[in-house]
Amino acid sequence: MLQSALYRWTRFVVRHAAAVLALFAIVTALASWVAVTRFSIDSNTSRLIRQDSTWRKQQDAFEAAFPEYQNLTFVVVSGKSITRVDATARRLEAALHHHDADFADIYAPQNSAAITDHALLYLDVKQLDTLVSRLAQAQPVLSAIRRQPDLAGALGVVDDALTHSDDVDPDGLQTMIRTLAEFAEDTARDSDASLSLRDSLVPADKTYYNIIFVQGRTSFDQTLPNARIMAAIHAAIGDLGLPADSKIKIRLTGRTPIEHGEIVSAMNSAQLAGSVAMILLIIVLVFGVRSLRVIGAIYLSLGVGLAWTAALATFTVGEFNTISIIFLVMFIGLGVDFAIHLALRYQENLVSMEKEPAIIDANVQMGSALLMCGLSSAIGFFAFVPTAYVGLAEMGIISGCGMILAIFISFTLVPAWFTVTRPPRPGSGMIMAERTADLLLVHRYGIAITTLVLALAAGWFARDVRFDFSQLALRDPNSEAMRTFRELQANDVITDYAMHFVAHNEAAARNMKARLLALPSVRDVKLPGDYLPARQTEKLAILGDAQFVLGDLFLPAGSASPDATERNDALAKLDSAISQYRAGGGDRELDAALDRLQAALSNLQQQGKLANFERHLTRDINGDIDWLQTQLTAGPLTLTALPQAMRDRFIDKKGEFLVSILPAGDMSDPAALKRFNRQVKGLVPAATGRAPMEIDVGRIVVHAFIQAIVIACIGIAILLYIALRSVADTVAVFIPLFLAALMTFATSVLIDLPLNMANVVVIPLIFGLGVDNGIHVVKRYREAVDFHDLVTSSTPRALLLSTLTTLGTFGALTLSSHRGIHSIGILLTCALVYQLILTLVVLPVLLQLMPGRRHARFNPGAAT
Amino acid sequence: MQGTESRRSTYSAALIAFTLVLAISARPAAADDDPASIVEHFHGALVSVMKSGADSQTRQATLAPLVSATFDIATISRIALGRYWHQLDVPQQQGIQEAIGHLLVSTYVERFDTWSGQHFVFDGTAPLGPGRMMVRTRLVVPDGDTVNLDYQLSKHSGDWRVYDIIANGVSDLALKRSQYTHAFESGGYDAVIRAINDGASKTDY
Repeated sequence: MLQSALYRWTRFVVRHAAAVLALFAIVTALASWVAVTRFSIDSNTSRLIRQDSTWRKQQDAFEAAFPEYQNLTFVVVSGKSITRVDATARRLEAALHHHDADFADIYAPQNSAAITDHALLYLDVKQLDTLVSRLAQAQPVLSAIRRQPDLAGALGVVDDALTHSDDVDPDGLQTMIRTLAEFAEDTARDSDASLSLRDSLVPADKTYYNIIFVQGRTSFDQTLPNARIMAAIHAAIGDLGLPADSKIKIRLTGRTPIEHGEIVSAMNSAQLAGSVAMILLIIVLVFGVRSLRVIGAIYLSLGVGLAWTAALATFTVGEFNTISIIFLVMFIGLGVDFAIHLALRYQENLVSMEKEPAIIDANVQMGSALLMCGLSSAIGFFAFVPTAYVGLAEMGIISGCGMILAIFISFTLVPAWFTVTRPPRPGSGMIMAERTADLLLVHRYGIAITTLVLALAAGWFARDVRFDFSQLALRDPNSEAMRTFRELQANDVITDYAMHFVAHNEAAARNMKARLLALPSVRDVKLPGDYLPARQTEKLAILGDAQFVLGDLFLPAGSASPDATERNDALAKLDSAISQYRAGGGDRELDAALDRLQAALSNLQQQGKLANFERHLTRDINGDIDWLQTQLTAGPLTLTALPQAMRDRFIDKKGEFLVSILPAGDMSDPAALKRFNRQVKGLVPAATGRAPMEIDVGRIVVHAFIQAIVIACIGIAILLYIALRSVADTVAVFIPLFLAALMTFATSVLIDLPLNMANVVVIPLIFGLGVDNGIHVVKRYREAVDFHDLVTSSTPRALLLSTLTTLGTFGALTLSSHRGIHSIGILLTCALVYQLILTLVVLPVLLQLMPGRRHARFNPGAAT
Repeated sequence: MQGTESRRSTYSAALIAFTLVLAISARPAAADDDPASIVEHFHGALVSVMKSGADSQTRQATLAPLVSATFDIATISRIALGRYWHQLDVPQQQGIQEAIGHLLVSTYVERFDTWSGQHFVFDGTAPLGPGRMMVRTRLVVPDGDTVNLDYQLSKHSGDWRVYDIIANGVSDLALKRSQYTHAFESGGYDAVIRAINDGASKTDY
């Protein structure tokens, strides 16, 4: 029935080939237009999973109480110099406000007066005490510049110190001279150099971060929902005009940039992999087919299929996601298979037939096998549709439909094309095929035993297969956003794995904190008050003492006489003080510092930059002294003193308290993550955060994946049984597939590439895609008169070619920067290689060894 | 400050003529409820002692009660030791206070031994903050060289006491802090006491 329907259809196509081609041209043009104009990608990862779990509800409740934490971009300003970082962050905040049409909120806590005026309280007690001691050392020079804010004032203190060097703290003197020398050198190089006391006071061995949190107005109707926000932030950064080699870095991370980066990375990956796949396809076809007209048929059906699939996707699922986008690449490899089989069969038929019967016969003979291949692949994809993993379900719909379209296109377009083109050179099977057949037959027991041993070994390793449910595992770890994210995490600036809950009031929060701290998996619990500086009484006492040491700095600045004569006099005085000091013996280290200072100052004098130096020196020192005065007299920092925007992030409108729970132990260890989640949830069932989310999402994905495998296997088994009418053959086709799956698991363990949210797609696909080759082999085995007919027909050649094209495509995916797509590429490539070898080598042997239905007889005589 | 004190000691050899003038102008009792009077009284006493030409023992007996009435030795000791102050037990803290008190007295005893015409000039006061005040003075010496001496005082239970003297812009308290915290870091309490006593013996020339 199928064959007669195919016969009638193909005859119809052949008779009206020109019209059919014209119709295809029109539909394809329309489809391309739809695909190009309506194409979009949704990267909202929370929508990749069907959202009706408890975790989602708790997360929604949390987000309703504290909307400030959603969809943030962290604009991270960092550098060694606190002053410069803070100054840049301030300018950046102002620049961001110029672009605030695109932002819902700009939150710069470190720029708020409440925090900056109490910055010293955020140092620990020891740091603070050291700072006061350093200030004490710097007191003479600061005091001098305050009394006489000009070059003479600054250098006068050096003169004094040198004159009475026995009574001066040598470290302090040397530091003072070196600081002046360095600043003089900086001024010679950069006329905008600045001196910062703050930076030399606070230990700056660590990078200092000032983070501005930007919440974008998300507009989901954009092609890239976050692209505009990112563009606006980049525009604001551009407004600052920082030089490319600036020591201050501004980087973006947080959810919005990471997701944006993921889309860009997925699109770039798809483009790159697609281009590479196209090139590989040409190479495979040129070497494998050697007929321009056949290659034309294959490329034509590929192009038409891509356009139709992309267009259909916008109607069925609306948007692509970062996983389904890769089907467009996979289609390059998968969609051409049918056309390759049809074209090669046509070529083979031409050996003994006229053109038209050869075309029709190719369709009729290959029809049922190709239809089954297409359907089984479609089942492999459609198997994801009923699962809760929406991301894969959508890919399933797109891909399943794509496979069905590809079958239709191949059966229609290929005959129409060959009707209007001259027949290609008749083709045949593979060279060396006969020897291969002999080898397979001679070694059939050896092959069977080797297969068994391999299966056992693969099974042994596959027991350790792991599933990494982290969404971060999908993303490009080398993107700026991800690198910055990890850096902040490593420096304890952000704690990504913290769990949160909302306590009704402060007492309840404190009570729960005490109980949570007793849990072994909890490192710390933060209440709103814990974000205030700790041990304030002690620190305030230290700052109080500092006022005693530095009292005279905060008197009104004295008068100055910044003119050239005074400056030259000051330099001359310094020179004579230095000569006098050296005449009295000197000190080697101090001498070096003095040389540097003298050289730098006379250089400035020659360049005429001395006035500039004087102006910046006094401006910066006075700025620092003002800053210091604010710090020393700011008093305690209390919750009520915090700006409203900041308090809103800790205490919601109903007066409820945000409590954050920080984990102890390594959260990249799934066991530790689960223990942390379990223990916290035991006390606070409503606690939310990444730990419960990842565990929940992981559970859903694993479940979806098992569900998909079961559906795929059952669907394909039914299809196989209908087509082959033999349980034994059905089992025979499945054996290489199970082995391939097992070996893929073993590979995942051996190369340490755990299954993740993206590459789990591979296992159901092994069944959906791999069964194709099995069907062809069994079909041909039945058609064939003997074993040699099977091995030497066009089928193995077509199999090899179509598998190579598919392999090329999947291999191209491994070039992706997107980790999810990359890992799919690796596992699929491995799976396909195993599957190809097992089907071409093991399946014929299995069929031969299997008892019962033997269609092809073993006839050694045919080999000779 | 030691730098300027050494300078002062050279000038001190020539002090004489102004002793009487200042001794007369100085108020006899320390009924001082304002910072300027405290400093003025202290200066008056210093000048008298210099002019008296008494031996060092007598000078010591005269100046010791004056120093302890004028200076806030407890605050000086605490701030000079920074966070290490709280690592000391009470007897150690007392030991440091005694040593610093002794240093102050011996500094004045040794340096203000003879009078060669020096006199103090009062340059006004400036508020430093709540409960703190600066009294600006100058020590003028006959050869024309002048030392700016800015006294910083704080009010403790109604009494003003000096906790720091800034001599030509160099804070004595700041200097003490960097010396004594360094000393503590290298050798703990004993090293601090040694450093203070070294300072005291250094003045003995």
